[in-house]
Amino acid sequence: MGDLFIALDLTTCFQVILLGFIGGVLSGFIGSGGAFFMTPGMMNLGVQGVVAVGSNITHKFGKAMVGARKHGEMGHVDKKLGIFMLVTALLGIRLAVWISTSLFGSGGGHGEGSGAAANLYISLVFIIVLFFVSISMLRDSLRKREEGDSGPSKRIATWLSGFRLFPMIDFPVADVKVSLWVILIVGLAVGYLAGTIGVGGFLGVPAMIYVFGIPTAVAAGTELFLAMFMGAFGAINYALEGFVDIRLVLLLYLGSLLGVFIGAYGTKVVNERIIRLVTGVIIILCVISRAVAVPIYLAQLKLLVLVDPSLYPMLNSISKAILYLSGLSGVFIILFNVGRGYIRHRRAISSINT
Amino acid sequence: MRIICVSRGSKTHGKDFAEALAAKLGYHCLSREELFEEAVKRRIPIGKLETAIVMRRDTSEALSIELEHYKALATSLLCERALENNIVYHGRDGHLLLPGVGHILKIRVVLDLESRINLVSQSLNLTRNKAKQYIENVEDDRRSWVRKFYNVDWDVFTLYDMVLNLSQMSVQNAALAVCSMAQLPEFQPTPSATAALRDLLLASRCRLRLSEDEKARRLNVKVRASEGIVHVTYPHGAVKGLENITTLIGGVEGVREVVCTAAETNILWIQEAFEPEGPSYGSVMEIAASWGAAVELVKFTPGDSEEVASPVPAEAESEEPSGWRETGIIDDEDRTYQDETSDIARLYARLISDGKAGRKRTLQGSQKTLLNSIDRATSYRLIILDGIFLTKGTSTRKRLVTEWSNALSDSLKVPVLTIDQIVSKYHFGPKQTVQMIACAALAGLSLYTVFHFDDQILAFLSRPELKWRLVSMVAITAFVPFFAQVYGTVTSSVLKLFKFD
Repeated sequence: MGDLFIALDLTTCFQVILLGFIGGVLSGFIGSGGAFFMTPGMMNLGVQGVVAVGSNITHKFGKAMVGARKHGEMGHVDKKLGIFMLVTALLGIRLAVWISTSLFGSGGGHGEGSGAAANLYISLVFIIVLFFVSISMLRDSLRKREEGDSGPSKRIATWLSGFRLFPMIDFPVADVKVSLWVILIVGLAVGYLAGTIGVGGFLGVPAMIYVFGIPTAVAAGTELFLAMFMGAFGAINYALEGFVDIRLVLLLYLGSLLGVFIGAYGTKVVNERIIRLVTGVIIILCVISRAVAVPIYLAQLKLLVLVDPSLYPMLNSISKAILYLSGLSGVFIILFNVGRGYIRHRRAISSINT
Repeated sequence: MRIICVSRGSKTHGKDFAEALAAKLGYHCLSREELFEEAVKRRIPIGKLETAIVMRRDTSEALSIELEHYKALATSLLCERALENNIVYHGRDGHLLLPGVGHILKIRVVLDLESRINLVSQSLNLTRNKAKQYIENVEDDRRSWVRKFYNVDWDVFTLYDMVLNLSQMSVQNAALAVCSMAQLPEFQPTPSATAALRDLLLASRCRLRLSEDEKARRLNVKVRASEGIVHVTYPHGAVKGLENITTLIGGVEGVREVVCTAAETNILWIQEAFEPEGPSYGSVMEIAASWGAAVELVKFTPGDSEEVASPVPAEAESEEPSGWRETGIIDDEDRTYQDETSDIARLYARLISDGKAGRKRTLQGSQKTLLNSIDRATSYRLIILDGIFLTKGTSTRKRLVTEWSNALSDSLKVPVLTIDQIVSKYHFGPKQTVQMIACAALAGLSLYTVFHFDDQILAFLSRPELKWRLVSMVAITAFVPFFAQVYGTVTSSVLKLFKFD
């Protein structure tokens, strides 16, 4: 297996399942991805960044297929919008895979430094994008608290709708009219992020809600429809390059598919503002966790010299600890509310049946 | 009591036509603009609402509540006027404010684009292109409004009894032609239509009564009425302001009883005969509890209503109709309050004690009657259609239930299931057990294979030759969704087994 695939013992297997479970709960709860936790989590376990992304995007492909079918049954998928975005999203993925694999190849051969350039690049994109996502999410949830409004802000959508850049495309399911150019730009960005860090949904869902102005349920359903094709395309590309660890994919499924159902149940019993607040805090902790790991990659690339080499494992442990802290505390809050809701529900049913 | 609703686009002569028609028939004319003026008097921010809807913004909860206030106001004004006089209303699909009132003559007025462009160019002093753009924008806004307000598509012409193209016809002649149509028996009031109007009026007055109270004004509640019983549904989390609901609504004239239910959505349960003590109740209630839904009951007796009434001569305008056809609720005897020992009354009492009561109604008629009686603005998550056509044989009954289910589902875009289908879809039975075991075995086998032969598999997947990479790519893209599907079935089955859905 060489340097590409890690050896899996029982503890590591359990940790990957746990990562999948936490990612799944968060994904079901937040409605977009879960890769923001699983990708860095696997990197912390020693998985190469490019393999972590490749395995995660492959895992996402199957999961999105199941999810999109369910959303489709409920009429929450705007296939027309999904297909329009898909065209450029596939280009974005191809671009991302090309950059990642090129950087992996330029990582300095085998050994410790192998893949460090790709790891650094993936981490930096991760930090920059998710920092802005989390900050806007936190600001939104805190600001709405003051205004007593629980709906997402529509300022960007309203501002953009004023431009009416020709040609405007009508999407009847989502009930919006959006400029083709805006769709293509968002599609390209979504594809690029999905291909780079496996978290296209984190841009796709907010973009559809805030930029296109479509309802949250349709945004989540359409994103899953898009994710299904993007995931398939990403999986094909990464598999073609030999960067998919099928064992990790299966272990992730063991945890995530159970977690998704539990997280989705959580959305029924937890207030929407709390959902956004919890999500924002979890993502910002994930960003900090990745930022802590950056000096390691810089040092591996000889761009930074650490005085004490024993700092490497320490930084890695801190990064891992913060990541697990964010995931576990988020999951604890969700599970606590899910449990409470479940008990309430069972009580209601038993009172009906007696 | 006769109602004609004219739906008009921008610059289609719709207003002129409605006024000419009202004058010829001697009906009272009511316009959407009058409703707006009344809304402004009552502090409903109608301009803000319209802007939010046409800009296709997600309306905030506060604005959604104001939208409900406006809906209640418009309904109450229409019902009041219709109960006092014969009316012609012109606006945007006003007939959809009156679900269950089957005798409304619904007319859509259209005009060719070129004439409309000329009218806009002249009245607003615009160039041809700008006038065309103006019309398209206004039409777009109307489409958004109708979709948001009534949850229907403005361009579906089957919403109307008649589409009048005024491109070749003068307004006066069109009005003259419609006068005779208005005399047809299908558009004459029936006792059931009057009762439906009274129910709508009572519900809208109760909703407006809540909007007048400072605390209750902010409540996101749905109010409906049936035979003097007022049903209020409110979200589970709502607490503030609820305490006064019964007192406020109880003070409205005509209210016999107030039933409050915490519900996020609704389940519509249609049967010809209910079994209040039967097992179906438990199955439906499990879903209602899981979804936080109120259960609305409709005791429906299918009847043959395809008879065609003979036309009524024009001179008989003031006479009562000689017949009816597809006129909505058809149990036309003077409606008396239902016997409290009837199946629907006992089931309803059970629903009230379980806190899941929606409203209850008894209807008789055709498929169209049933469709017309369902309020499209109400959020239904599921329709249960079971135990109807009881006089037919088993095969015929099954076929008819399937046909009606498909028609309801297509028209309302809501899943329509029988009780048996609910049990198999939402409950865990032997079929699900077999499926779960089979999928668990397949998932286990897949895991064993991958982890037992992991070295060989990974070596194969990372072979450098292009042809082997292509093979591994195909293998991964075929195997991964298969495993996701199989293992997903196992997890969802386990959660369903523990009623965790």
